Parts: sequence; structure tokens; C-alpha cells
Amino acid sequence: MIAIAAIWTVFLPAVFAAIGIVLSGRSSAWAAGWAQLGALAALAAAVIELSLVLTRGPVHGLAFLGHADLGSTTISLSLRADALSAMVAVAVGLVATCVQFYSTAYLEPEQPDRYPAYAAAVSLFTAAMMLVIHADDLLLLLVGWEVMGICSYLLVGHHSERPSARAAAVKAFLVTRVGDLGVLVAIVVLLAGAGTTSITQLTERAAGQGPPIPGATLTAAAVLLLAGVAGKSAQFPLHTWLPDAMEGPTPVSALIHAATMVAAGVFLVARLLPLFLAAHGALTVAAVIASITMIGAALAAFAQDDLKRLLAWSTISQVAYMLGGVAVARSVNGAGPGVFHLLSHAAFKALLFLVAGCVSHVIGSTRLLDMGGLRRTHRGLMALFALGLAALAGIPPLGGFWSKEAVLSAAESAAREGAGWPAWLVLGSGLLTTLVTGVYAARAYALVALAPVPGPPKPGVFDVAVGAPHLPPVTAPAALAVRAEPADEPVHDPWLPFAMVWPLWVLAVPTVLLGLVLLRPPAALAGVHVDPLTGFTGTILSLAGVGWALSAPRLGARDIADVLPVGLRAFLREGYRLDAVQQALVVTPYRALARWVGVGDRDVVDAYVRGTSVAARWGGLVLRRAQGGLATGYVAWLVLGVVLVGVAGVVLA
Amino acid sequence: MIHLAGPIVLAAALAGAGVYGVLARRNAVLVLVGAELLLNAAGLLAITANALPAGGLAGLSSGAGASAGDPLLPGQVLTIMLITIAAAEIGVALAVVLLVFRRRGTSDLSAVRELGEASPTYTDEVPDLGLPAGRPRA
Repeated sequence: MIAIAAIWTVFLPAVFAAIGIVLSGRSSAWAAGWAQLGALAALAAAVIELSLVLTRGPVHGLAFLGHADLGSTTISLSLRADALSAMVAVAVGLVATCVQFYSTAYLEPEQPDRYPAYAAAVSLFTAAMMLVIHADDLLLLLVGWEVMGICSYLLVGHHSERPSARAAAVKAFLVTRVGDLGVLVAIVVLLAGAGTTSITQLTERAAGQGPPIPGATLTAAAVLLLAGVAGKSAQFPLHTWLPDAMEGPTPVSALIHAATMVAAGVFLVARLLPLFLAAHGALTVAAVIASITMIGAALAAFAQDDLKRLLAWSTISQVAYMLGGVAVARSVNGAGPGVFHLLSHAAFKALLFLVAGCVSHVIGSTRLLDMGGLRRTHRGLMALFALGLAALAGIPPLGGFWSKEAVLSAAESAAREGAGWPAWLVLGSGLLTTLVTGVYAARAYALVALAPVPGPPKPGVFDVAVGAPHLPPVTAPAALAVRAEPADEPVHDPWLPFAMVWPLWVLAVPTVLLGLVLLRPPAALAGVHVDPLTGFTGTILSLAGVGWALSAPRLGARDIADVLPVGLRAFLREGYRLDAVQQALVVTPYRALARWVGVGDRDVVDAYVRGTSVAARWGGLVLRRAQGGLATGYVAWLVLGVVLVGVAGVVLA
Repeated sequence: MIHLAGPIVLAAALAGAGVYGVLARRNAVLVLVGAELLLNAAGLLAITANALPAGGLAGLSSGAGASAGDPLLPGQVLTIMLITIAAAEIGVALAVVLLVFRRRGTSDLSAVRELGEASPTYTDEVPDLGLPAGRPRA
């Protein structure tokens, strides 16, 4: 029964995606229907799986695709269903369902002929993530991992008529591929050093049951896997693709950021935690990466001028929290806080992105400078926005508070128990990030909901806001207005379709109530606890940040980020100019290399091919002199040939 | 039964005369005669080879036994075929020589070498033979 549920979570979205795209033809309504059915079926299967796993315990080694005989070793392509995979599967199914329904209203009316491919890609994305979280073999996991990569390429580049969308899609594909290479090499290392890629066997052996794995193999594999984690989960220094991926449609951002793709990296660490614990130094590396990323991304989020990019940077920062929560684990069951934050983040980040989609639907832009006054016109929407942002900032009693403080408490207890400086680093960085998170979350709310409507109110749209005291907007320096074209399509319609509203309320439920899980935590979350002192400190810091950001009007600024010096703000907004560094260190040398390879191919390899034609031409020019037109001359050649053959026959005989 | 060395020597003499005729003569008719001599040398050799004992010429000098006696007589069969082919060939070739002589008034091969690319009289121009024009290329 568990087996069927687990396999269905993987199969159903994929099968329905195929049915949808084959049967729909050009009718987008059919495609949308099939895709929604697939997502709902996956959600139902995941819920069944979760309830079965919680009552009957986990199952390993579910027969899925049989065995792959590689000659030297046999790889069993099987699945596993445990509390970790079941919980994440429910989150994936929920977010995928919301996104599928939301997209029908958000995207489908605009380009109906493209919608079948879009819906199928989202379904395939869901199926790939389900495969990643259920795989019991690293090779099978890698398959899902790579399918997610190609789906992200397709979805980020959905608006392929825009050059920026194409560039972002290629960037997302290539940057994550750098990390994927690490996973691939790690699999080879594990096959060579440990002789198996089965996750069950690897974790058991790393935890001390069965023949031990050589230390060098463990360390090499864990560090290589971390490269893959950094790529997929957008951690420093491979995070640069995520803000650019905002070129994709907003529901896709919700899917990528909330439940799939970026969560996959953290999930991999949680899944292979015994391996990382046994590998000397790997978790230290993870802790350092997470600490740098969480504070750096939070500061970058603070300086963004675009709502979606702000949310993207906050995703990077929050995923770093998860990674930090896993990195301070002290035992094989220690992944709880990180996974718990993954679940709560899935809920509130999906909510935030879908709200951002609604906002851009209403405003016709995603630039924060174009927003304002939505609290008067869209009260319910802004209430949900405030809920999501409060969960992001970690305000009690929302789900985000419990999960974030659980991460910080885990870091604190690890530090107290002598885990050394990595735990202190995660704790300090986490507390500082809490403050910055409060600031940028409140700044987003202030700019979208509270700020005065910018510019002259457009007739018929902001009628309600006309009566408001119209303060002259503090215009930002011209240098800040970098985005010439809006990141999203200008729909500009104050009326929100029902299909875009109800998924928000569905997602708001776990956003608010996820903390209740801690009353009776399942075994996988047993390590989760919230230390009162840490929780209090985090809340104070967060509230301080929120208060400071909301006090912007009293400080005489429309935007609290205006307090930053212009140069520093531009530096933060452009993500520390790491793109330029990447350009200089990787892209430019690589292009130069490609040019040289091209030259070598053209002037060296092809030279031989062209040389044969030149030689044949010159040979022809020489040999045609023999065509003298005198018949006896030809016969002389013939006789010469016969004599030569005869002599050769006699000599060789 | 004659000694088999005789026909072999005769075949060699015929072939030598044939090669001389083909290579050294300019008159087309004499070149054809040389070609005929070559063909006949080959036929004679084929018949002789059919009658050679096992071991070929070496077996002949040691005086061992009679012919291998292939009941299918391949040498004779090949020679009859050769005569037929030679008749056809000489018919066509003489017709060509006759036409060349009628047009040019000579049968000297060194005077008709327009078809050789490297010859001094070679030309790229296609003579107008009055054939019906083909469909124009698109």
C-alpha cells in the first residue's frame, strides 16, 4: 500500500503530463485539466503515503524500475518511503496543486497555445521532484535531479520571446549544471570507493552498521555532493542563477522556490546526513556556506527594487537557514530543524510568490517603485501578504517562527555542546539575518501596501486611492531604475480571478498553523525544539527590524532602503557584483577557450579534410598531362602495368 | 603428340610481335593487327596450358606423365570465346578506322588526338551535332 502510494506520487504527475500534452492538441483547457488532475492525484497519494508511513513505519527498497546491471555492480532502482520523503512529498503536492490551478488564471488566458507545454513541464517538474525525494539510489536520484534541471530551463525560459528570459534560462541551466557535475562525480567516487550507490546501504554503513566506507571516499563524496547542493539550492557561490530566474512566470517561481528545485539540495543533505556526519569536515564547509549565504542574501534582498527579486534573494537566505540547520546536526536524526524549516518555507514562500503574482496582475509591474496603496484596494490580498512576510520574518506564532527558531536553537545547543566554531558561526549569522529579514520583509509590506500610490493615479484603476493624502513620492536616483522592462507581463487589472485567490488561502493555512506539528512531532522531526531564550532573542531582533523598516515615513523616507548610500545600495542590489566576477573569471576565459577551440577545429582538424581535396585537385592537374590523346600512349601504360603485375607475381611467388 | 615447348615459344613470339605492333606502329590498321596477334597469343597459351601436366612448365621439363586432362577443357572453351570476341572487336574497330579515314583522309593515330585533354589540339567546345535541344535547366 505504501509502495503504491509512493510510486503514484512519482508516476501520476508524469503520466498526466504526457496525457495532457498528447491529447490536448491546442486546447489549453484540456491540458490544464489533466495537469491539475495529475497534481491533485500526486497530492492525494502523498497524503496517503504520509498517513501510512506515520502509522506503519518507513519502507525501504520498494521495487520501482527493477535493477540495472552495470557489469561490475548491480544498481537497484528502487524507491523508499519514510517520514522525510512523505512530508516533503505532501508539501510538493500541495504547492504543485496550487500552482497548477493558479496558473490557469494567471498564464493561460494570455498565451493559450503555449499553455499545454507549460502545464506539462510543471507536471514533469513535480514528478522529478517526487522522484528525487523517493529515490533509494543515488543514480535514480540523479535522474530526477537532472530532469528538474531541464524543466527549470524550460519554465524559466517560458517567455522565450524576451532575450532576458532566454539568457536567464541558459544561466539557470548552466550554473546548476556546474553543481550537478559534483553529484555525478560523487556517485562515481562512491561506486569506486564503497561499491554501492544505494542510499539505504550508504547511510547504514556510514552510521557504523556493516563494512565501513573509507574516510577519503566519504570526504570526497560529501564535498562533491555539497557542490551539487550549492548549485541546486542556490547557495554561495552558485546562487547567481536564482535572482535571474525571476524572468520566469511567477507561478513557476513559486514552484521552484517553495517546494522543488531549491529544496532538493537541502533534502539531499538531510537524506544523506549520516554520510555527511561521518565525512570529516563536510558539514563544516556546509555551515560556512550557509552562514555566508544567509546574511549576504538577506542584505541583497534589502536593497532590491523589484518585488520578485526581493523574494528570490530571501529564498536564497532562507534555504541557507535550512542548510545551516542541517549542518549543525550532531546525530543521524539531527536533520529535523532544517527539514522543518523547509516545510514551513515551502508554505509561506509559495504564498508570497503567488501574492506577488496577484500584485503584479493588479499593478502591471513588479517594480517596488510602481507599487503602493494596495492596503486600501486589496485588503484581503494584503492580509495574506502580511501573513507570509511575518512568517518569513519569524513572528510568533506563525509556522515560520517555530521553524526558524528551531534552526537557531539547534545551532545554539550544538554550539554549547562543543560543536566548535561552525555552530557559533551559524548561530551568529542566523541571529543577524533574523534582524535583516525583519527589515526587508517589513520594507516590502510598507512599499506594496502602505506607501502612497506613486505617480499620477491611472484613471479608473486607483479611484479609491485618489482621496488618500497624496504625498510626493521620494524619487529614487535615476541610477536605481535599472530594469527598463518589467520582469512580468503587464496585465494591469485590479480584478483578481477566483482561481488566483483560493490557492492563497489554502497556502495560508500551513503558513499559520504549521507550528502545531510540534505538539506531537513525528519521528523525523523529533530533534526539533525551540529554546525559549533563543526564540525570544530572535523574535526581539526580528521585531526590531520590522519596527525600523515601518518607521520609514517618520524618518522622512518613502523607502527604508534609501538610508543606504547610493553606491552601497547599488552594490547590494546587483548581488555584490558577483555576476561581473563570474563573467570575468568563468565566462570570458571560457569564451576565449571556445574561440581557440574553434580556431583549432577550423585550422587544424579541418585542414586535413580540406587538404585531401586540395591534394586530389593537384594530383588531377598532374595526372591529366597523361591524357595525350595518342591511343598507343595509353596502351603503353597498359603494357607497363601488365609487366609490373607479372614481375610482381613472379617475385612474390 | 608434339612437345609442348613449341606452342609456348610460338605464343611468346606472337605476343612480342603484337606488343611491337601496338606500341610502335602509327597506322591504325597495323595497330589492330598487333592487337589481334596479342589475342591469338593468349588463345594459344590457354590451349597449351590446358594440355600441361600437373606441375605446369616445371613438370614438363621433368617429363612427368601426361596432361592433367580436365574433362571440361577450359583452355579450348576460353579460346573459342576469345575468337568470337576478337571477331566482334575487329568489326567495330575497323568500322571506326574506316570512318576516321573517310573524314580525315588518314589513318595515322598521331593525327587524331583531339579527345586527349593534354593534346595540342584539344578543345572544350562541344560541336553542334544538330541534336534536339534538351529541356532548359531551371
